[in-house]
Parts: sequence; C-alpha cells; structure tokens
Amino acid sequence: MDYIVSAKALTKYYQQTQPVLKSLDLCIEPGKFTVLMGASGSGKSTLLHLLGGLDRPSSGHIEVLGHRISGYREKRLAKFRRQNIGFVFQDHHLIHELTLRDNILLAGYLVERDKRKVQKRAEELLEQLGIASLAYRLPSEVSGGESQRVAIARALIINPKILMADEPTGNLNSKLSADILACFRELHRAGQSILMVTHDITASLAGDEVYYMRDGQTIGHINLNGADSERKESLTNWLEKLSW
Amino acid sequence: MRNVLLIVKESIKQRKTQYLLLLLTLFLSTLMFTLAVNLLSVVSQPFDENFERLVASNLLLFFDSEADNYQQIADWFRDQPEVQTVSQPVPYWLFNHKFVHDEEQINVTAYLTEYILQPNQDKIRVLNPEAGDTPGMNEVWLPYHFSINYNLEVGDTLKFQFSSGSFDFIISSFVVDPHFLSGLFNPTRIFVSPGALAVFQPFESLNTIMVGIRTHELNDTASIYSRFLSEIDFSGSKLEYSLFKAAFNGIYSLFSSAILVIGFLVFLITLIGLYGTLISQVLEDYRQIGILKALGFTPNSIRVIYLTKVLVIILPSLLLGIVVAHYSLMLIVDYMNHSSRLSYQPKNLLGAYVISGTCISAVTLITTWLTTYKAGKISPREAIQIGISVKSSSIKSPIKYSSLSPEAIMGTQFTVGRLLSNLILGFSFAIFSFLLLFIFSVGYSLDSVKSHKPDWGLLDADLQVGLNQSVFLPLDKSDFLNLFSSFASQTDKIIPFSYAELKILTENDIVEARGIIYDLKLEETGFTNLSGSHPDDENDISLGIGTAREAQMSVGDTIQILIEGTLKSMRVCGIYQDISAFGQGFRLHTQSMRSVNPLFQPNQFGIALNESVHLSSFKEELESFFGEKVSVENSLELRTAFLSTIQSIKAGTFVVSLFFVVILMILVSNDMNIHVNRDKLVITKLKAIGFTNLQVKYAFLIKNTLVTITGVLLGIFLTVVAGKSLISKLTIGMGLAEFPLEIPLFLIVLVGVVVMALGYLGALNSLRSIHSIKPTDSKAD
Repeated sequence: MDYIVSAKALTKYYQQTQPVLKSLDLCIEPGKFTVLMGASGSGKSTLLHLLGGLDRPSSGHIEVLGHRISGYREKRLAKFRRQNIGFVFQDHHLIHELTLRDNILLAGYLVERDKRKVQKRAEELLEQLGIASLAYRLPSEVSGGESQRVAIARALIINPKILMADEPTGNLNSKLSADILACFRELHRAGQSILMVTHDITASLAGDEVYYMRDGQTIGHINLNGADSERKESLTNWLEKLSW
Repeated sequence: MRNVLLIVKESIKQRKTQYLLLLLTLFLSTLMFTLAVNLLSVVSQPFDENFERLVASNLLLFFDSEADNYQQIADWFRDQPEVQTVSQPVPYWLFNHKFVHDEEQINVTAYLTEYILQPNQDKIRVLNPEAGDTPGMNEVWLPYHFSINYNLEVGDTLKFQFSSGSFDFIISSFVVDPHFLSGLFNPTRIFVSPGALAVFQPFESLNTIMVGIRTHELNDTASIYSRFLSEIDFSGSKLEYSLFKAAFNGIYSLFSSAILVIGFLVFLITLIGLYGTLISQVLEDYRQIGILKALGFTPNSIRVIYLTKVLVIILPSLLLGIVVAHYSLMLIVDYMNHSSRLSYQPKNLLGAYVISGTCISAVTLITTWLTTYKAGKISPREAIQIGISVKSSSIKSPIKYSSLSPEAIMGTQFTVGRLLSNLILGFSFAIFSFLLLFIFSVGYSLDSVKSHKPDWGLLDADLQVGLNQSVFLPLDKSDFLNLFSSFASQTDKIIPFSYAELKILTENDIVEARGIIYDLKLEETGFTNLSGSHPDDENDISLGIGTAREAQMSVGDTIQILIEGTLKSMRVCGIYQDISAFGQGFRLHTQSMRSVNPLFQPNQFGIALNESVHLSSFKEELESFFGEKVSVENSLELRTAFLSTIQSIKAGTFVVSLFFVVILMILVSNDMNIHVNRDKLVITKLKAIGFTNLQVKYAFLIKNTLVTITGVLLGIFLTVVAGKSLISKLTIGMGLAEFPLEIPLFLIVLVGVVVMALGYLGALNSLRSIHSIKPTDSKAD
C-alpha cells in the first residue's frame, strides 16, 4: 500500500542525553484523519514537526508523499513544506501586524504566482470558515476561535496534500474546540488528509485512526468507526487498556 | 544590589554582540568628542606659549623713519600704562623678488630684516647652536617653515636677486620667529646681518623700520593703537597679535571645530543606538521583568538594572576613548611642534578629560534612565501571562499588499511595524550620508580651487607679474603691456592692479586695511560679492568681510577713508570674501585712486594663460625676456604652503570619514541584530509556513533598503540645503563667509552607493543569525 506518510526507525535528540523519539515506526494512509495522542512530553509534537518537515531527525527515515524528506536540506524542506503541507498550531501563529486576510494571502503567494487566483481562494476559505466579515481585522481584534479558523484557512490556501495540526484546540474553551473539530471533520469528509496531535480525548474522537505515544514511541493504535458514542467507548476502553 | 549584579552579568553574557557594538560606538564618540574639546582648548596654547617665552611684541609698527619719528613714537608708547616695553628700531626692506636654490627659483615676499639682538623683547629661537649671535655678512636666517616647504638645509646657498645685482647667502640657521610661525603668512620675515641691507640697497632707500610694542595684556593692542592714531600723526602700518595668531591657528581651529561638530553628531547617533538597544531589551525581557516585579522589584530597581548594564559599558569605553584621544592629541601636538619647531607640551589635561568623560557618561546615563521608563511601568500580570507587550504588535500596515511578493509584504511590514525604530535608523543613515557627502564635497571643493579662483576671492590668474621700480629705467604699465603683447597669443586674460593701503575712520576707531586697486571693470575679474556690487565709480569701495566687520560697516554705509594722505568720503557698495587675506582688505577701481593721485598707475598684472600653455616654461620665458624689470610669481593657490595646508585638511577629513564607515557598519549591524531578535517569533512563523532563510533575509533587506534609501535621500537633501552654511560657519574666521561648496552629482551617487553598500554589509553580517532560528522554536513538546 502507498502511504502518505511513513517513518522508519525515527530517533530525535534535542540534547545528547535521552532521545525524545526512540526508533519510532509509523505509516499513515492517504485520506485518513489520523490522531497522535499522548501525555505531555511523550514526543508527539516533535514527531509532528519531523513528519511535517519543520525539523530533521537525528536518525531514521521519513517519507512524505513519496519524498524522502529526512535527507532534505533546510531550503528544500521549506519549499516542500509550503507546497504540500498545511500547518495549524496550538497558538494560532498569525502575524500580529497583518490583517486576517493578509495572513492567509501571504502563505498563498509563496506557492501560487497568480495573485488573483490566491485572492479568490482566500475569499472562498474566509466564506467557508465563516470569518469573511472579519477579513480586514487584526489578529488582536478577534477571538481565539476566530484566529484558529484563520490559521486553518491559511493552512488550506495552498490546497495541502496533508493538513497537520498541533494541539489546535489546546488554547480554546470547549465550545470553540467543538467548533474547530467540526470544521476539521468537514474538511476530512471532503477528502482532506489530516494528521492531528492532541492530548485531549474529546479532540481525539474527531479522527478515524488514533495512535498513542509514550516515551517517544507509539505503543498502539485504534481505528474508530460508527456513531460518536460508539467511538468514544472504543477509545476509552482502548486507552484504559494502555493505562494512560 | 547583589541580585542586580547577577542579572546584569547574565544579561551581558547573553547579548555579548549587542553590548560589544554599543561599547565600540561609545568608544568612538568619546574619542572624537574628547579629542575635539581638548584640541580646541589646546590649539591656541603652542602659539601663546612660544609668544610669551620669546617675549614677542603684540604690535609691530612698520614705517618710514623719514616720515614718522621713531623717538616720538617710542616715547608716546612708553608713557602708556598698558605698555610693557618698546623695541629698538629694526631696519627692514620689503623683498619682493626671488632667490635661487640649486637652480630652482623660489618666489618670496619677505621683510628682509637686520637682526638686532634685543635681550628683553622680540627674541627669536635660533635652531642651529653654532650660528652665533647674529647672521654673518653673507649669511641668512630663515623661518623654519622654509626648510619644510622648500627642502632647504643649513649650509645651502641661496642666490638673492636685487636690483643692484645677485648676492649669495648661506643659510646659517633656521629660526623660530614668534610672529611669523605660519608658512601661510605673507610676507614673512628673513634675517640678515646688522648693516647688511646697506650693502645691496642704496642708502637712501633704507629708511623703513619696524618697531615692536609689547603690552601687559594681549587684548590691549586695538585700544592703544586706536588712541595712538588719534594722538600721533602716523603714516605707517601695523600688524598685530590677533593676525599672527589667526594665521597659525586657523587651520587647527577649523579642524577642531569640524571634529567637534562631527563628534557631537556621532554621539547623537550613539545615543540613538543605545535607545534602540534598550527598547529591544526591555521587549525581550518582558516576561522576566514581570517575574522580577512579582518578586518585589520596584520600578526604579528595574531601571537600575539597565543603568548598571550601561554603566558596565560606559566605563571601559570612556577609559579607552580618553586614552586614545590623549595619544591622538599628542600626535597632533607633535605635528604642530614639528612643523613649527615648537617645544609645547600640553599641561593639565586631566581636568578636561574628567569634564568630557563626565558629560558623556551623564548624558548616556540620563538617556538610559529615560528610555527605560516603560520597563518600570510593565504590568507583572500581563508580562507573566502573555510574555509580550500587547501594544507592541498592533500597527496595521497602510500598504495594499495584494500587489506585493511575500518577501516584499514582510519587508514592508518590518518597516512600518517598527516605525519609530526605523525612523531613528533612517535618521542615523541621513546623518552619515550628510557627513560623508559633506566631507567629500569639502575635499572636492578644495581641489577645485584652481578652476574657481574668484569664488575664493583669489585672482583669476596663473601668474602674477610685478613691475620692479628699483631698477634702472623701470617699466610703467604701458611699456609693460606693449612688450607683453608678443606673449598675447599664449594668454587668456590680463588683470592690471596695484596693492594699496588705507585707513578707515570710524566713530570710535581707525581701521587699517591693505587692499587692491583694479585697473579694469571688476566684473571682468570674475569676482563675486557676498552682498552688494562691485565699485562702479570713484566714490565706491567694496570691503572684505573681515574688514567690514572690524569697521562695523555694511552695504550702503558711507565711510571716511584716508588714502594717499587725502581724506575721502566713500560709499560701501559691496562686501566680499577673500581667503588669501583672511577676509581683510578692500577693492577699489583705479579712478578712485586717480581722484587723489592723478599719476597713479597699476604695477601688478595677473596673467591667466591659455590651457595649452605650460606654466613653468612660460614663466621662465617671461623672466628671461623681462629680466630684472619684473618679478614673476605663481598665483597664491599654487604656492607650497597653501597646497600643503589643503592636503592636511583633506588628509584629516579622510581619516574622519573612515571613522564614519566603521560607526555606520556597527550601527547597522546592531540595528539588524535588534530587529532579528525582536522579530524572532515572526521569523519562526514565517519559516513554519514555508519561508526559506533566503526569503526571510530578503524581507529584512527590503526593510533595510527602504530605510537606507530614505536616510540617504534625506542626508543628501540636508547637505545640499545646510552643508554650505555649516562649512561657512567653520571657515568664517579664515575669511570665507560663504565657502564655495560644490556638490557634484558623481559624489552624491558615490555616497549613496557607499552608504547603501555599508548598510547591506552590516545587515548581512547580522542576518546570518536567521539560520539559527527554527520553525519549531516557539513550541516543542
């Protein structure tokens, strides 16, 4: 089978003491909404950064969309990233001085030279995510949930092959979290591959495949199917088995 | 206090580069400022010390002993309470010919003076200890600047050409003459043996004598001379202390004033750099300040932390700056001593160093205290929770971004987002561009003096021919012009003129002036006026700016002048500038002179040659054709002393411009460091969405370009608008009230390119740190 993301024997050291990731293997199929779950310090964000080309592994291989990005230099990684991967971070990472619309356009202009096309797509995304009326506001003038929607729109402007989200609901209250997760599910239903990192069990339920990480390794995974209550039960039982 | 020191130590460790750069700029500004202040206070001392040591007269009277009575004059002065001593009469003769050394002709206008040994007044320092008490009969003592300007040595033979024939003199010594220390002073003074003048001049022409008057106070000269003229009928002339001193000090004063102005601007830039660094640190330390305040630090103790950091930088930079300034001062003093053979050693410099050090540190610390006001006001809750100042990131760009590239969007945003600090940086660029363009333009203008002589008040001629009246059958104007007609094809212009002296009678004073009478319409000379017009009829006179100020006259005023023994009422029609006479003098048309002396004829001729004519060959041809009947001199701007002075100024300004290059690099590098540090989070975000290092660098370079271009344009504008007034303020003491500053296009382009290039070099150096910022820096699990 062709995987959209695969990692083999992935190890990452930040300092020369204990590794954050220990010879980790992982394969993600296209079209899936995959969730990486784990406690704080388990290495899930580090894994996401490596898979998304934000950082490079100390050893091991990463293949994304058929490209062995673990061997790429920084410049090639940046180009690969901006053409293929959309990122959504816990802290929305918007540029404070640019309007919401300009934040979205900036990422689009990096990939597409036809500016009208980018602007048209931005209008569509603003509309689709329900933030069109806020387009000309600054990040400091809107709520956290609205900022996160802009961050999603910014990630989507490049029509990414895969959307990576690092604790996208970490800074939001339960209502805004549900809002954002609903948005993710809608995108997934439209065919978007998503890889999301979270420590929140409710957020994990949005995915259809959940990997659990501990001490820099994946210790198991589960496929979630059926109605919400069924999914919740399966996940809770599975997590209890793993003594999480 | 111990806590503060610990924090300061760690902070300096973390920001080594920023502090090092700040230390360097502070060092450079201390160096320039201290050097300028001390040089200004020291610059007049070598002259004064030498003047005192050699008991020099502060008033020298020159007169014909047949017309004025020495004894009466000496007695009058001795009776005045201000007068200390009056010298014996010293015979002199104004030598306006040439002497030959190793077949090379040296044109000199000099008071050929019999050396009369006077134990208590007007001593000179004889540099050759074997020279004896006076020059021997075939010996001559020359001012020391001759040995430098003409490479003469003791033992060399000089052939003096007089109307009565040629005489060989051996240079038996060089001397330090307190009055004529400067090579720029024209005429200078040359000493021969007592009684020697009678050998080569007819006895009846040996009536000219000079007498020195030494007063108790240097500044009494003007008032006592004015009183003298009102009580005694005196037909001679005088030279006084202030003129001798101005001739020696003028260049050094100009140089010191220029360094002072530049030092001030550099210090201003240093303060701007300090402001930027502190503001950036307060932003970086936002969360830490919040924590410290939560721990109980008061607003003032937070500010004391920054004050201590700056103090740590001030101390070594001040110390180093003052030490280097001291040694630079010593080098300049050595140069002054060497060029005039003085033995001056500056004393009591410590006080001046303490004052300049205190001023610089006080201003720096006050700036720090005021700049860190916001640090004391930070809310601990906001700082701890949010970590950045919310207000610092809410400037919305006015630019419509849809037409720009991603790099340009961010470049523009970096520019408008940090508007204040970019304005400050732009202002610094403006100052640097102004200073560099100003310095280069002054150098260029000095170089172009040969092609724009009238603008400097100099005669628009290559050679100056004087008719020698002491030869057998001397030539008059028409004889000369008839004979000269055979050279007409090689010449472009002839300007006939004569030197003359007059006295201007004001209400309270009598002002003496030596000026020029032109035998053609002054419009034809190319001269310009600072105000008013050239003399047009016999009642018009134009005055040099210095003389006009001394006589307190302006255009349109009526003055009484005493010329050729006749009192004449005249209208001041114009004021002009003239560097050759330090702004002193007057210009008259021949008809004014003829109204009091109908037989008046000009005896000097300025000759401008065609471009293709070789100056030296033509001069030799002329001398050989006319022989003893004329003296031929190079025009002033070709004379060695003038040229060497210009070279000194240019060398000085070149050194100063190198300072700027270093400071500019430091400033830009420092600013870029600050911006990269401030925008670290933005860089992280940009990298996360796919910006490459190169694209981030482009964005910063775009910002740098916008700021630099704005600064350079402003600097050029400032130079064009204010450069001329600034240099004119510095040169007004030399007689140039309107410095003929030229700012050619190529210099504007050159300065623009240099400043832009330095801006990029400084920026690129700091932008390397972008590589170390990772897209994951803001958060990692």
